[in-house]
Amino acid sequence: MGNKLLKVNIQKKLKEFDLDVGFELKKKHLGILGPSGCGKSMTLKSIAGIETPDEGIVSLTINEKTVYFDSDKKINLKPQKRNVGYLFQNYALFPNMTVEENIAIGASKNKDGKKVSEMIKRFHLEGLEKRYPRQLSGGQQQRVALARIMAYGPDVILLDEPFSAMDTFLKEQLRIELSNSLKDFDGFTIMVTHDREYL
Amino acid sequence: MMDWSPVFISMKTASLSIFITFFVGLFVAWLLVKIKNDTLKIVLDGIFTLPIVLPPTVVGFFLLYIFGVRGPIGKFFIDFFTVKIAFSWHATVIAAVVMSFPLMYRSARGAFEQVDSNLLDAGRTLGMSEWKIFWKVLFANALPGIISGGILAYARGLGEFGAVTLQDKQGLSLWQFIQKWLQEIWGTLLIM
Repeated sequence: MGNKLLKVNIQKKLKEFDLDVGFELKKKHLGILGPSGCGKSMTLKSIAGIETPDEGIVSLTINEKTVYFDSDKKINLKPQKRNVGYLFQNYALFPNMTVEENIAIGASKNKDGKKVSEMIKRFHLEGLEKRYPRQLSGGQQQRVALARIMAYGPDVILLDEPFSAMDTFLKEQLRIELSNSLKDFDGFTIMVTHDREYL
Repeated sequence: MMDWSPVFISMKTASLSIFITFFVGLFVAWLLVKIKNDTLKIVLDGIFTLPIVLPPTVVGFFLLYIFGVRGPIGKFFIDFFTVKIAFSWHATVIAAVVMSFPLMYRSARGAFEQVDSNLLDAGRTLGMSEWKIFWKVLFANALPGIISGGILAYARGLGEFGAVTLQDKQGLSLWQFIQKWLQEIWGTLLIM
């Protein structure tokens, strides 16, 4: 997997407690397990740049080192510049756009239109291109959200409780689907959950 | 033969004022949604909602004061652009904008706050510019609320009487001014 390293070491004062997380990731996958409200989502959001930690460092090395956040050097890259994909708990698909348009938002970085149809094929979304998110099942929505992230081509994918809103049967199915679609992704994935089974 | 000119003037005033109100209202609503400091938010919200709380005539007098020849903004325009704002058609547009602004701003703000903030963050992590996020995600998903706010604001701008009628009376003493104003109200009532 070459010379890859994701370094996270952040502190942030929250209302209930002080968050202090540190890890270095060399392998592809990391699962973070913990009860609700222990700062897992906050950690992911700090990596993505949606939240700003009070202190610390977030950096990603893929051959070259990119500093995402460094409180001492006053570096704080915008989420747009970080190349980090975020799978939200509720998937956060744009309700005003069709499946195709949602994926096209992720693919707008590279201009050719092939990326969208490629992703639709890869995530088995053929025939659903013109549907709106509310017309899709939970599993289909998750696939669209992943397709949108993959079309963006991120270095890191963050998964925020991807199965929390599902019933048991669907959860199992989605878990298999998710691990299949992440198998040929060669960046980092960090998944956060409060359910031990799904790590 | 009925004189239709008041209708056309009203339409003209309301149409121009809704154009201004719509965009200014959207922008201010967006700014307020972004502010994180709660105290500042409440104070600004109070100020922006004020025109709808105060009696229209009070707002009208207040505008006359500000945009009058000796008022802070009116003096500036006279000195630098030699444009007199008070007692002109422009003043009626300004009055209509001020009176209809709170409706637009309140509706837009409510509609913006209904939009899931995860959508905005998703847009950011997908590399969308803030400008694109505003129009394609925030605005597009808040559209129903924004349209209803726009309609309310247009109706208010069209029907606004109190603050607007104060804006077009030139060179009168205070007593003549009130007299003329009362005549106008009386005239309006007679038409109805």
